[in-house]
Amino acid sequence: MNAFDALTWLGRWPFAFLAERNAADLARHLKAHGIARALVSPLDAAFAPEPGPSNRALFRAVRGVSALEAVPVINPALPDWRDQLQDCLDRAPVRLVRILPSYHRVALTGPAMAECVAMCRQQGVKLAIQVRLIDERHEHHAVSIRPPKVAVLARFLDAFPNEPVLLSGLLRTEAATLAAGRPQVRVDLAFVEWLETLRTTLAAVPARQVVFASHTPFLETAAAPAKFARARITPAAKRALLSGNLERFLSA
Amino acid sequence: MTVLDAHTHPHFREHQAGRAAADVFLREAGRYGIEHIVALGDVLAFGRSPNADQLRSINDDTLWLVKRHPEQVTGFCYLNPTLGERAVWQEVERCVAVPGIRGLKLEVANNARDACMRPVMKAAERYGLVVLQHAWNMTKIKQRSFHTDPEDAVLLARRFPNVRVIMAHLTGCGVRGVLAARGCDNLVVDTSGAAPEAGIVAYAVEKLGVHRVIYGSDAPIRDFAVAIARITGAGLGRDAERRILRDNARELLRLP
Repeated sequence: MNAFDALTWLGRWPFAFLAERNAADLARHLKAHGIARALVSPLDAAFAPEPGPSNRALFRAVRGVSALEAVPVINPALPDWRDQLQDCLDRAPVRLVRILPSYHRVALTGPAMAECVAMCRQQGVKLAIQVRLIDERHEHHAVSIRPPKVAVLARFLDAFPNEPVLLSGLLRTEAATLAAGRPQVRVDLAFVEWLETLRTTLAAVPARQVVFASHTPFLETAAAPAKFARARITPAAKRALLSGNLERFLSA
Repeated sequence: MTVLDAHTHPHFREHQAGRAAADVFLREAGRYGIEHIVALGDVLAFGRSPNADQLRSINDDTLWLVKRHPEQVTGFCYLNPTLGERAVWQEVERCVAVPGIRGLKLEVANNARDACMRPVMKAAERYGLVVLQHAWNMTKIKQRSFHTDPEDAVLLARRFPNVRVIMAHLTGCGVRGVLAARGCDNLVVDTSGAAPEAGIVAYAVEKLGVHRVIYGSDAPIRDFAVAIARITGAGLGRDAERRILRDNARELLRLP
């Protein structure tokens, strides 16, 4: 299958019995499901006081594991976010950084995000907005975390119409709404599902805006390639969704 | 491997496709080796508490499909218990007159703990029907006055030990739902619900035993491919996969 996965994680998650793998194990696990390469982010950053230590651990973990490309987490709600980003750029080649607005209470339409977008542009780094990590109905009872509203995401995207953004963890209808008329947006397939997921999705979202994602270890890895195995879309579209679109997005 | 899908909604009015969509749905199921489906109806077509006419309209679609594809489709009669005992019995008797109606479907008109469930369960007992009860963990949803938590579904099954109950949506019920279901032998859980969260199928098998977990997709809300991958990706082994994907439901529904 030779997929390029837009969304995987290394680290610990306190609220579910997720598989804990090191980088080499994750790469092997993904390869067994036809995923040749993957973007990987540090899970511990979701609840850590600041993401620096998790990012540094991630860079150390993926060193020498060519199938995994580090995507650090930046928290623009903290006063040192510029240092967080610069520290990552100083340590390794970074093509994408991930923002967790729900978990870090990041105001997507606030001044810090505007500055973050500008700094990423200057540094040649793309942005990924993690809309949800898990189904909000299944969050731990002691926490109250909800994904950003679609209208807020739309306002953010429309404020930066020329900035390429990857939206991760959208549901089917959210993906259709947010991708429509916004060619700068890419949406990943991790949570997108309906009967004949790919045909349904491509009826609503231009194929060039859709990328493969397994969301390992949160979701069953086998489910992501399963969407493609018997999908009735053209081989060219399949190739683009599996790897080409993400590579072009990162390289542009 | 052939598959029996215990949780589908082949008539889905979102795209106004009508009954023709059901044939497309069955063909799509066939591409994944799904030889038999349980059709539950488009249960939210008229909101969470349909009236008697709306209920009949939904069930008419199911009866039509069962008659059209008797080898491929088992139908469940959708009920709104809040319409009262007489309405429940009338609709059950209308539906069970059609061969291939093997169960009753309960959604979110009321909580499974409510007294209005008694005639539903009595009807299930009389006609030997399986009851599929929608369930979801209500810890975050806060709708328990009409929306069934897994603990409510288990209580229902315990109150009526002679009725076979399917607690829907393993992923929505979660770990707490699985633990609630332990020791309740007339209740099985179907594997539908939400995204394919890792580990929950294996957890259910570990805690309940492989005989109490049955495959359900919730298609078209979900993709057959993904729903099956929840099972085949769980690392259970071929025997357990066959049990969950086919044998358990076949035995539960007493299919040949």
